Amino acid sequence: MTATDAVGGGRRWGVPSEADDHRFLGRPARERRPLMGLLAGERRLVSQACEGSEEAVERLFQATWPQAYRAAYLIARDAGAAEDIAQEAFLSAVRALDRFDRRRPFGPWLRRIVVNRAIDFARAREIRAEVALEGIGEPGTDERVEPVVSDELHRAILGLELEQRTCVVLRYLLDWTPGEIAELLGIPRGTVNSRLRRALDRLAQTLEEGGG
Amino acid sequence: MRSRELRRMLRERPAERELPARERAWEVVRAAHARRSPAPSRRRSFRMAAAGIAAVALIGLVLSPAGGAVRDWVEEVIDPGVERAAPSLTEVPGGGRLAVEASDGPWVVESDGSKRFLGEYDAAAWSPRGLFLAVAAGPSLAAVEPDGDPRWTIPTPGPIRSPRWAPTGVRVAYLSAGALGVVAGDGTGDRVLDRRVAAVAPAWAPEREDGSASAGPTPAHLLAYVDSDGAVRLIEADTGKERWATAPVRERALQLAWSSAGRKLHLLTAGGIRTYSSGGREVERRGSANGAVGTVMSAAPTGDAVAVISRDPARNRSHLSIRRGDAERELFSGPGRFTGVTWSPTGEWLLLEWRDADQWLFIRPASGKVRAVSRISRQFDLGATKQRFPRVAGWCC
Repeated sequence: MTATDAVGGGRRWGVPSEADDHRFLGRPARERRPLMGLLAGERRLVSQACEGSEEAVERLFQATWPQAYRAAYLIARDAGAAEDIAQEAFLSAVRALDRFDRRRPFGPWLRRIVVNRAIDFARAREIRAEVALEGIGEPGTDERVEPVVSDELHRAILGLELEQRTCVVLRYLLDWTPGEIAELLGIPRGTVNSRLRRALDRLAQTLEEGGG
Repeated sequence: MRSRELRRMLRERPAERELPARERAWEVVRAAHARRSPAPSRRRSFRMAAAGIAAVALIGLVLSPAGGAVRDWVEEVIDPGVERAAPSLTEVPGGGRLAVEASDGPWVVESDGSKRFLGEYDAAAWSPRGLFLAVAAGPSLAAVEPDGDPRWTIPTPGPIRSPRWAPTGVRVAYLSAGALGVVAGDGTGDRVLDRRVAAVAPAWAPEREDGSASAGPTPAHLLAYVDSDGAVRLIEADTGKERWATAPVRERALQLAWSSAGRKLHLLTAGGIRTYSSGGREVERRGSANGAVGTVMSAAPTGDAVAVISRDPARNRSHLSIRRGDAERELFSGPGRFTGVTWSPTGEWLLLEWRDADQWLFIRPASGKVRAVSRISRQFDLGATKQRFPRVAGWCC
């Protein structure tokens, strides 16, 4: 095989300001449900993106990336996997733009893909860790190493069990209702509420012990 | 902790490595968007009318006598499959790596179950040692590394189907615009071998350890294919010289597969399996049995066994069998459709794709042991609007 690489180039790109993140997403809690004007703006951006506007794609990306990445990161507990999962979701969205039903909100659709993939990743990793521990009795495989996280809240959430932190991410980061969470996870709504309650208690305890 | 406070903090605080990840991802997304051509804007009224017409047509179809098949399909999709299936693919039993064709494009699954999306391609085939994959990229053929990095791309007359890497690793055959083409493994020397071929994947003859093709003394790079008249042909890919050709086969050809040593070439048709010697003589013909029609076959990497999927449409049931000469043994059967079967590189495992249960079954032919993995569609779903059940395109070393 003597062929040379067909691709190259760097990956530099200007870092958008944090304010950009909140063009769509940084609303107060009571306004967190999609607004009609917001949806109309999103639809317009999707239409413009279909017609080739890079600016429209960029605005959709900047508006949606923080929640998508954070959801993937907090569920998967792996920054590399979160980047892959969120990036693949965006690539899929770009490819599907022409077929996308523009009456549907773009952000929730994309975040649902991210959440599903992150849950699959986390479950697979947990199972692999169990197999490794049961199989040869090695203490402390890589799978069980806690990630080094500077943010106290994120560290506390990452310390929750998968079922609890998934519910926390869906409820408090992505603003899903308990009914929507129950439907996605295939569990009763009451179970969602009890997991959220236990998770909040555990987070409060962890942050208190940590001086937060 | 109060929920409002938690919500605010989660929204305000970036996660670890979020910003550099955003830079990298935006660059990739921007490039992907730049590569696609703009689509004309669509009218909502047209979409709604089209959706309405489609919905009415579907309802009519399902309620009509002929719509029974549609109803059956809807029912098949919810088949429960094997109980106690693992919810995720966490390892590939027997090791090795899988190339998987899914709705959004091909994936590589590592032996530990981790997956990598290769990119916006339509098909994939492993090189013999798993160093590269040949992929279809619209009207072009490309070779990429397993991490997705492209090595070369060549334009082709039309969309690529069924790329197949020769056992030597230095030739790739493919179908495009009704023709059979071949290109060197480094992307050079692309040429057409036959301009009128059937839509059946070509099959390279296995190589002996001395490097010669086992279907004849010399030279190597013997390629079997089905022409547009239904005749099976064996040619020397390097010279285009024909070794032999059969009479046209009336039944629709579905698949070609060489036995591991290259002594037999199997042709799966809508009417059964025909087996040819390496010299082109038909040595065996087996028709459909008990109303079940063969749909997919896979020759074992060692020995003469062939795994065959057959389907009994009257009973809506599929069967997986192993055939060795005249002997046949059923390994597994179930309701709905089995859509593919692939041998592991060592021949110790079979991977059965069970579309209607949304499962993959890893089966040990020697013991009949089954390990099932469920929710396969979701594990390869990036959100494509048109879904197809993930297909294993190759199980490599």
